[in-house]
Amino acid sequence: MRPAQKIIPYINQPEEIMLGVPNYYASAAGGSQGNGVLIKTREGRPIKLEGNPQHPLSKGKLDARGQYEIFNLYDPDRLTGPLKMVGGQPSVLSWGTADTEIAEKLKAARGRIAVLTGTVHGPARNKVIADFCQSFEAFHYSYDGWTHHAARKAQEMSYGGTSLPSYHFDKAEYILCLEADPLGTGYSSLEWMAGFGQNRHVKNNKMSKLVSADCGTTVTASNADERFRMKPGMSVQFGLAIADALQGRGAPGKHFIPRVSPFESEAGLKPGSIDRIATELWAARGKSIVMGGDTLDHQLVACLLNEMLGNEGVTVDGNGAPSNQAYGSVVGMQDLMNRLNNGQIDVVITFGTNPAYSLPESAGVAAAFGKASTVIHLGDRADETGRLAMYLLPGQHWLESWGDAEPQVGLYSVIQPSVMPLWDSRAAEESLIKFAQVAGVSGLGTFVGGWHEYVMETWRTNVYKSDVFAADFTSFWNSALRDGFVDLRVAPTPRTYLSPDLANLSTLRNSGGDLQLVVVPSPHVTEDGNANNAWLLELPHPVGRVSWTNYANLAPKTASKLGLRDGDYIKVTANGATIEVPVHVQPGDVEDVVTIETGWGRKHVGRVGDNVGGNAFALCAIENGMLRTMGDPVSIEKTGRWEELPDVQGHNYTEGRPIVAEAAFEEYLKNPEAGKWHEHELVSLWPEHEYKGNKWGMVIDQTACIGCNACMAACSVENNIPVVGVGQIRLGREMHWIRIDRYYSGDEHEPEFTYQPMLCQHCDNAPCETVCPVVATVHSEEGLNMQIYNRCVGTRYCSNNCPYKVRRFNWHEYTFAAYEPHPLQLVLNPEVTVREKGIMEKCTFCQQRIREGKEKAKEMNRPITDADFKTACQQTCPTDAISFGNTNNPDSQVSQMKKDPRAYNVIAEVNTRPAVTYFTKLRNRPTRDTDPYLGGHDAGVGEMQPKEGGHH
Amino acid sequence: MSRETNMKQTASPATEPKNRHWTTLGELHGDEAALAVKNSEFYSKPEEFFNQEQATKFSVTGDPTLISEAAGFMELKVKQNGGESGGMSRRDFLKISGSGDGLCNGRLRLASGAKDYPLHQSA
Ligand code: SF4
Repeated sequence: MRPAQKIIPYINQPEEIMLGVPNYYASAAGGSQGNGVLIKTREGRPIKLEGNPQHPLSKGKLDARGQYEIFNLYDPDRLTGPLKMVGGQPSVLSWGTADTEIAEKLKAARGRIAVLTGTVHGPARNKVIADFCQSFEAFHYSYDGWTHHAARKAQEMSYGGTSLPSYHFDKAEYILCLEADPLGTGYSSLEWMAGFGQNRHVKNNKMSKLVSADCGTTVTASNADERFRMKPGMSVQFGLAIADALQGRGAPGKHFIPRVSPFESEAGLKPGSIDRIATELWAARGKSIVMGGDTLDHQLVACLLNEMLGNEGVTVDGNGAPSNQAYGSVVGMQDLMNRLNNGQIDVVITFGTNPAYSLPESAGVAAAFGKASTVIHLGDRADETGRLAMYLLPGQHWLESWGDAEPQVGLYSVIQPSVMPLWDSRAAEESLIKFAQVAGVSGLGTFVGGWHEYVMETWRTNVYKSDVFAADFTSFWNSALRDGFVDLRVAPTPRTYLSPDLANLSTLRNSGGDLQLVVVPSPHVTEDGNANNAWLLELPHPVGRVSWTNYANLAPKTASKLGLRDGDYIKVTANGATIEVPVHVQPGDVEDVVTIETGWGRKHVGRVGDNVGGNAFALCAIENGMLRTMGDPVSIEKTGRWEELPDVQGHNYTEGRPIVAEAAFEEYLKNPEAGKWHEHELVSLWPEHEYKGNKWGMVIDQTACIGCNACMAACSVENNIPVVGVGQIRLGREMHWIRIDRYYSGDEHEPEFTYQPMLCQHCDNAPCETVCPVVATVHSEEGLNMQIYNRCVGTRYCSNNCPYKVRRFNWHEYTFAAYEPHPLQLVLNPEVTVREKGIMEKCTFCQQRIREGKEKAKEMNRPITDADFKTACQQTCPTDAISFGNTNNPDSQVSQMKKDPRAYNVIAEVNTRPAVTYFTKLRNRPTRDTDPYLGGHDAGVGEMQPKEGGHH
Repeated sequence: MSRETNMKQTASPATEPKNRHWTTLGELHGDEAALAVKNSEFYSKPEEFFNQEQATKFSVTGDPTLISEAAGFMELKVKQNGGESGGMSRRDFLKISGSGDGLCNGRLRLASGAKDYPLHQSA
């Protein structure tokens, strides 16, 4: 039945490649966050990315985007060779011809050339652009869809420099977010998630507190211990009211704080809320962080509060090792377009940015680019901006090319290639060098060598010279490549606060309108090739749990007022532009607000991502050099079209059985078992398994889990999880082996959120094992519930009998991905079987990793330990919410954790005896009389039960 | 060597909660459509999947990957032609047959000490 394919061994086997044994290379992710990664390669092709455990930002972790980045490398819709547009049609040309033609044009256009990039950091990457600009008297502009320009402007007004600060979430015991989403979409979100996670594991009866004042349920807002819902912009006043209260407590400095009282009654907050939060913040001064949203006002208030709380120079680093992660600016882009429109620029070279997509049409990008005589696109695909170009010269994925990164000042990484270029492509920086060399210009044109030599040379004269302890350059370079980074950061000192005038904050003037627009970035999809990443598009939204589209979030009251429901398609009009998106009714959102995420609605990204969702950038206006994303009036028109939302929450019901244990932290301190329901021994018909060696088990801390989906992504890449597409998702046939269940508690207007990673529980009394007629699912000697693929005949009895609904059936043949379209098959992990149509599959506890760990231990002639391997989900979880190990070893971490008073099993009352244990979700806020488990032990839980009179 | 004894088993909730967990608005409000999904045995309906074409393909080619579709199609046909199995749902049937099987096979499972060996010489 299998296609007859021949495997041909190496004739000359490369020295570093051992067949079947992976190689790991340290590098840095080429995106703006610049996190340190390890690239796992098998027989010369990258198959998995993981965080570099030594890297100070990633600390061994990667987010969902980072995990799925590997797919972008193998994206079949990348450009495959140089093209020139002739008469509106692309025609193939050679690199040599392209270089000659472009060199001539550049020589002729000296002084009238612009290089337009996204955020670029890394000494060599920055220097090559600077050298190019010097050689051709060109201008460099940097622009990103989400520019963080407001944050930089606020820094400038508050402290006098435009650097973005680095924030130390690991040192923060208290975090206040004013319309900010640092955990979902921050410019260093992975670093911040990891730092935040460190203080969410209860230690010595302490955990951090997260407070959010916002109008929409972002990742951060949904994880807040306390959340204050308010209209867009009102969180500025919330911040000012807190500043006012802090002033009364003796915060240093005299600040003019505009009076916003009586704020509490206006915002509908409980009397005394402001005072309480101010008291808590004051107690955590120097150990807190205040984050502002994407408006200047939010940022200015955040700066003021951090200053008053003494966080500056401690948790907020603005001058030691500030961030380089977001440099793009709309101001620069506007300047470029002015010059283009005035005929001052003849040649534009672009890469790493996509203004034709991410600026509203009214900005006139296409018209301005049309004024240039030559546009050269060095990106990886013919995207919206690429289609404005005459030359499309394919750039490389960062896994294919050299490069470097400096995400924070003094923290350097070399980006090293881990695979031969898949297509006839060339790094954009290589192209710049080549153009200069062929043009024969002074400066860069005289450089001897290519981009690799240029990176080395820059490091020799730059980073190497700054490292006073470095030996000879070759050793220094080799160790930088081996370790993946060089850390020369210095400690911050408090900056001088310049007391900017806060009297005229624009959000204090309520912009009004019956409905207000809020545009936010997507935590998953960005304006680059990510939007064509099928894995990423299928990953449900962390909060909404909807995949394959963006949508207009409406509060339940607003939706019912407008007569709208989930899946109704609406036309959303703001600032003269209209887009069409489905409605998603989001419990917890603020009334009369329409929230839409960007990243979607691409016209030209590839076969998977084209015309999926709507482009929310189009709805924004540009004001004072910034994208205005909040508070504009918006109108909605029903189209009459309805389509079921691909919403995965609602599949996998568990028959009304109790699932979530949660408690207020205050309750927990009184009673560590608070939140758990009554316990007693259950009787089993089955004899117990006896485990003579290892017994694998997992513990998931729901207090640490923020629902970021990184574990789902890591699992997909590790275990060759197929993408099923939007239609199959609607039928409940998603294939993720681990899913994140999002539960609400409380009412629909102000619910609280709990995220619960749900995977095969590897039960001791596994209900699936007893019903399989062909014994395709069996119990291993180490407690694993195993699925024997070639025994399975697809009765689906096991799935029916699984109380956790974690088994996945191959309704279709997904293995075609192993053959086409080329080169997608290269993404598959050869250590895991690709499953066929008609059989059942599910989480294996990454048994291939357990085996690898055993082999490692065997080589060293000792038994396997928990340190020998990690499951893919555990390995990547940014907040360390997942622990795994041998529960037969009483000293192992998991054994200890399973004795914790918070430990409980999900649906334990059916006596499945799961190997996965959960920790009660704790909320660091005062107890409320509506708390589900108030009083702990004897309080019950009725999860998923219909209202009185409903069927049960 | 120790058995897995660190898991304290927990029983069903004794009392109604003061507040409860829910996953969708439909579920919170007890909407019929949401309850229908909740109470259905399989989220995916056989009607949406099993079809004559696949069943015929199986009978012609004997392709084992089509076996479940063929079986599903036949089961669906029996149902559609009024051949219902006495009012007992598939889930209830499985509950009973599952326990019966379990009781019968329990001893066998314990007694089984067979090992699999790989081929010494593969083709
Ligand atoms: S368990 Fe999964 S969803 Fe939760 S924080 Fe970790 S990676 Fe994110």
